[in-house]
Amino acid sequence: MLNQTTEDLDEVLVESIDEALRALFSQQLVDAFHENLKTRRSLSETNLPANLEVVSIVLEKYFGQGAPTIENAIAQRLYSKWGLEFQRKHDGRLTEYVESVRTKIQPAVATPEPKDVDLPLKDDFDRLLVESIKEAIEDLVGKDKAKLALKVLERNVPFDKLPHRLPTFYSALKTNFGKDSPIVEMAIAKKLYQKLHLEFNETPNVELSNYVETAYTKVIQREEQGLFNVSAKLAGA
Amino acid sequence: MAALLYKSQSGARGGGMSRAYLSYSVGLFCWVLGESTWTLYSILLHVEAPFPSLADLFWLVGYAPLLLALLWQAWPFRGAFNPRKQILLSLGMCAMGAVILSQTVPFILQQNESLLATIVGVAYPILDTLLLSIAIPVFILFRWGTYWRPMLFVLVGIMLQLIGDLLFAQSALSGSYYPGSPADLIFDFSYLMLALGFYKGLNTNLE
Repeated sequence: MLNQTTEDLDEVLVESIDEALRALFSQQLVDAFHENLKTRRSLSETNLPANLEVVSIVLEKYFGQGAPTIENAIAQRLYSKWGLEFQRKHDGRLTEYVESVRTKIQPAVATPEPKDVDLPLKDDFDRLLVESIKEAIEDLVGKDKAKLALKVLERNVPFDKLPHRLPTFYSALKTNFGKDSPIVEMAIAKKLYQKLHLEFNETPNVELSNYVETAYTKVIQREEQGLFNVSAKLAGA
Repeated sequence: MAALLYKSQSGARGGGMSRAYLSYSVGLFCWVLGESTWTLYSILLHVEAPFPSLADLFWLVGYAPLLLALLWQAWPFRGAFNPRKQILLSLGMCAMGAVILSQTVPFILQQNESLLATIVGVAYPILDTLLLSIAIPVFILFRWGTYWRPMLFVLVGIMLQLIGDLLFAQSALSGSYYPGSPADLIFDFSYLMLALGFYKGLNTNLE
């Protein structure tokens, strides 16, 4: 199985989700789960692997504290399908398990060809940060609910002033998303790093503020080194 | 309702929970037989039902599949149960069992009832407590999730059974029981709660 591609991993991941839910509950629940993702979160089966935070949120919303057990069951099936040894992590989430599988099978997965894309500069940072916040929240809660959530956030900090009032924004995020705020913060950080073409390393208990500061420092360093596009970055790396 | 739930989630569309729903159906069917036999005595035969009677046999046998159903529901999630909370819950349940025994046994003994009547009289609340000791952790595990709603009604149903059984044991043994007494009303509400729980289980829309 280790000579498969990323697409195969995504396919196997969806299969694992379905099988685990069916084994623990029923096919009816599997159907209801996909229906919910499709209608309320605008997520089809194909883009589900790229939005595992949303899967975690839906599972938590539906099964409460039972969600991590379900995520473990999904991960267990995924590992077994790839012929990997599964080691249950304390508080391990689905995203971590899947990332771990991706890392393990990385040599077998085709590396994409470097594209000659202009890298964002530090002047682009503020715009990309706001974009990342909007897109990450939309991905997590769906377009309709995101509108409302962003409206509430904007009451605390207008988005055009957000980069200059980050501490207020961070606390507003915590207040509005409550116990889900770490997931939202992680999604924003991931989105920002993706937009900035930076490598994202998920670290437990690290807050969004740290990720943002690190990203800004890296962008400045990159600019100082004269790396302005992806090819140049790879050549310089 | 439990049988409908089993029907909707068995066969090709079945999954891990279908055997739990089958057990619920079997257990509740035994209780239906118990209720029917009890009604037979008072309405058709026009005699006072003996205690214990054939109806008690059906009711008591029904507890086994119900316990099994709850265990099947809890088993896949056993790793998620907090050991400290589990110990506290077990201690709480033991304390509740002790209180029930201290309240019922002396009373039953005063009535000079047979050993069988004493055992049956005590068995109901003890078995209810056992059901609760499995239902509560499952409920706590799924709390705040949409999935706990059916469990909430099932839990309330079991609690009402416990209250009803305590009231019934006291009134039946003291001779103050009559058909339609408060104990019966509580049993009726308990059945309604259980039915509502399984009805909610049928509706698995993720809101």
